[in-house]
Amino acid sequence: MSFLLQFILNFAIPLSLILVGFICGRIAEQRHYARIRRDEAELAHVLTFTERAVPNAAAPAGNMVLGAVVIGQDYFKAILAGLRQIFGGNIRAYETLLDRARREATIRLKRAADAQGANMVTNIKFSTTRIGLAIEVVAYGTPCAMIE
Amino acid sequence: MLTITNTEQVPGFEVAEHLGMVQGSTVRAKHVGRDIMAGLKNIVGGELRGYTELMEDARGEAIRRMQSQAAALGADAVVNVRLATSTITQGAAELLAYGTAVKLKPLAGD
Repeated sequence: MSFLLQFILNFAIPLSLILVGFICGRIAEQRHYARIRRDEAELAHVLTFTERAVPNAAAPAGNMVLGAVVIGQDYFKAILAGLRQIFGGNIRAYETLLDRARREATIRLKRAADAQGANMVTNIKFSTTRIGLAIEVVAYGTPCAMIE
Repeated sequence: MLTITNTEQVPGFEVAEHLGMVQGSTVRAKHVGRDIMAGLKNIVGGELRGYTELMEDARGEAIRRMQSQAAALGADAVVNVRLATSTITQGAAELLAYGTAVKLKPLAGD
């Protein structure tokens, strides 16, 4: 009986967490990518620039806008990333996580600009920070509107 | 409400006077309830909405503090605003917003 208990504690719980992480993480990622693609298409009319100067054809349209997202890795990929650190190389699991976070932050930035009636955002900056086990990505920029 | 931009100039205006750098910051801790949810999210993956809201809230507060500092100097706008976030201790983050307070005048010409 105590053997069974020990087995459950030592193996079954971590393994089931990995399995849950694998399944839920996969579903979450696929859904998120689907949502990202849909939102990107919906907000395609808001142009984004990394130039510092506001284009000549544009007028100001309100205050600095922000888009932020805090995202967490699933247990399976976190373990996978841990293994990767033994051999070195690219950690794909985190590359896609950051890609999702950055695109989501950009979508929120565009949505904020759109809500102010702007159709461009210039001087976009990104900042990425680790918060506990999660990662935060912020995008910010200055909205402006094309002069007809 | 003060204008804030992260570009050097405010479109349609020129800088009449520089009033120096202004900043605003907040140090925010997360609470236990959110921590438990975050722990769960770290198994299944995905967005931690509680944290997103928390950070947005704290960042808004930092920006407002920066704006009130600029307003106290009699500024019209804060230009070249930058944001920075850093983890100070376990479970607390500092959010900093800083920029240059300026007085504006409308661009002459057409």
